[in-house]
Amino acid sequence: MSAEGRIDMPQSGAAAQTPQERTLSGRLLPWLQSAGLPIALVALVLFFSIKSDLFLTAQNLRNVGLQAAALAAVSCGQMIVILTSGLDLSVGATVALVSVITALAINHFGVAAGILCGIATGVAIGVINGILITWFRVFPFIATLAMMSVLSGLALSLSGGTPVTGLPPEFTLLAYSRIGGVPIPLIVSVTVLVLAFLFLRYLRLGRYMYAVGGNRLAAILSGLNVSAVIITAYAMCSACAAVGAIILSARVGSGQPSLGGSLPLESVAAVVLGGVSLFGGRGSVFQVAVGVAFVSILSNGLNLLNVSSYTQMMVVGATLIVAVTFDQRFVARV
Amino acid sequence: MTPKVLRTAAAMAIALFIGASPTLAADKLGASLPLAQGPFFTAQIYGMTDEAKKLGYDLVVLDAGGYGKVDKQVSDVENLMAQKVKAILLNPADPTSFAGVLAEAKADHVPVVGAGMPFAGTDGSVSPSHCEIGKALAEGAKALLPNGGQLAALVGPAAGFWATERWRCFKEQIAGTKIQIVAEQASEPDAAVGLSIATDILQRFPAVQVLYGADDTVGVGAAKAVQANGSCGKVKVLTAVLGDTTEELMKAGCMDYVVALQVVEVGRKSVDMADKLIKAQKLDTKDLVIPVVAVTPKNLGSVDLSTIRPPSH
Repeated sequence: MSAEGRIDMPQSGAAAQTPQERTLSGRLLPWLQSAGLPIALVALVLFFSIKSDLFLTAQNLRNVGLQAAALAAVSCGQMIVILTSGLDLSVGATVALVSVITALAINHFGVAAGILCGIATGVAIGVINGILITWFRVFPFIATLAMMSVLSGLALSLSGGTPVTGLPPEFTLLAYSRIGGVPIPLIVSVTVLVLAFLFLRYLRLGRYMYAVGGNRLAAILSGLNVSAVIITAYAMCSACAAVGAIILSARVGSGQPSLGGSLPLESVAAVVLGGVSLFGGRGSVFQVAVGVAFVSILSNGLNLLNVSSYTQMMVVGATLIVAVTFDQRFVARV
Repeated sequence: MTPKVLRTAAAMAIALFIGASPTLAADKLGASLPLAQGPFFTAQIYGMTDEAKKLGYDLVVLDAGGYGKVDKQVSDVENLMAQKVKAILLNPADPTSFAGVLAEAKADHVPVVGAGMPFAGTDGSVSPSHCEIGKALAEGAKALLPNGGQLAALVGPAAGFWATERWRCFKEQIAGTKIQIVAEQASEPDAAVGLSIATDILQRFPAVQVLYGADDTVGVGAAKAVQANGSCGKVKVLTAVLGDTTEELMKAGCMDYVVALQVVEVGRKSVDMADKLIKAQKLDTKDLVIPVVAVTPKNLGSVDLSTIRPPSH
């Protein structure tokens, strides 16, 4: 069975159905998995539109897009890793380190070179994560958790614990300029999502991500170089985190060694809420985009309703618990 | 219909119209803070809220959820502008990060007051700045160690702008004295973490005479370590922000010098300044400095707490 058939395109027809699939819940659960969050998102938008007359203003919608941009890029990478049944908890620390390195490099070599340095740093971090997980057989949770500590320390060390300032205006303007009314960070993150979609849909390596996550043993027996696929997944994840770091650094106009602290939770929340299975092998870029929109609109709407950040943290955490419970209880059995 | 009846009908119609029209909503002020917990921010929010109420504003307070969430705080300022607030009171996690969003506020003609420190891009500020607090802490160290001696420091969170600034200015102020810094450790603003680090420092450097705590979280941790070590009075503790626990420790003889910030007053004056900016009135001064109060066991009983912290429940 191809990864595609196993994951995105369940076989239709009564002959292909198992007894479980013939039950109501068997038919309902896959539908809920794909349509549940978009419906919840529409309900959320309606709720906030009714509760706040500011919610649907152009300025606020632009804010939502701008504020979702970095999370979208990071979540896209997180999804790729989760597709291989992995997890990257170091994305936040990656964002911090890339922010510092990009700022330092921009100050020394210019904007373009700085951005390239940042992306290269991200890729290098991902390769190290991938090597730890494949060659040294460290659990992804432990490997990336430990890497988070290493990267945070490195970011603080390089920056001396203070923000790297003095960035040229052409860099910081990237975050506040618009093309056709659309903020540039949003265009960048949408580009990342589109590239990820094309990669996963049309490139063989992209299909291998699903195959490795869906059934690793079958992938090995099929002759796939699973280690190479996983290392690539982590490299792509950290590269996406680097894009997020550059967006955030431009927004705050400095290299911040403490940037991105909430991104590990938020990115996992966006991915899982979108319906990407933590068991690997299931999910699409569209689902992640919806998940990111849900998390961002939830945060924005709660802000407009003047709900404190601590309550917001509880709401995001509780929503994640509900999504993971759904994933563990039902989706994994479908 | 007689003119009298007409006049009466007109008066009733006007009265009905006025009664039926929605009450005018109060203008909104927005406040963006890194945190909304701890003695400093709760006092600042109290001062802001109370003054805003007196002046007839609705105050919208957004907090980023931590000093590390600078990007979230930038978003909060954008969200306040989307809420069409008349002015923004901004206590930034890191003032260097707001240039872009402050330019947007300026373009939207939304005045911004630095509520806690002066920084570029604002229309005015009410402080003491963190640098001034660091200098006041240095004066405290000099008072506790008039002949010099060993000092160890819990400098607060790494990459925390406020902590870095306080420590930088503290060190500048004691340069050239006989005070010797034997240890400096960064830590999260958490009393338990402060307690652990201070305990280790006291073991490693038994001759330490003063412990510096950047604020009353790590400061309380340091005092608790001294207390557990049975060294109250021998090892002096110096910190900033006079919270309830700090006061109790001072009464117990385990806290020796507190740079108390008149945070409630900072909150009130920030709102007053925003009000003047909204009404395009002339400011007496663009950068208003509210003096700190040095609190020691000797003057603790006579300090006016009404400008320092909210009234007790």
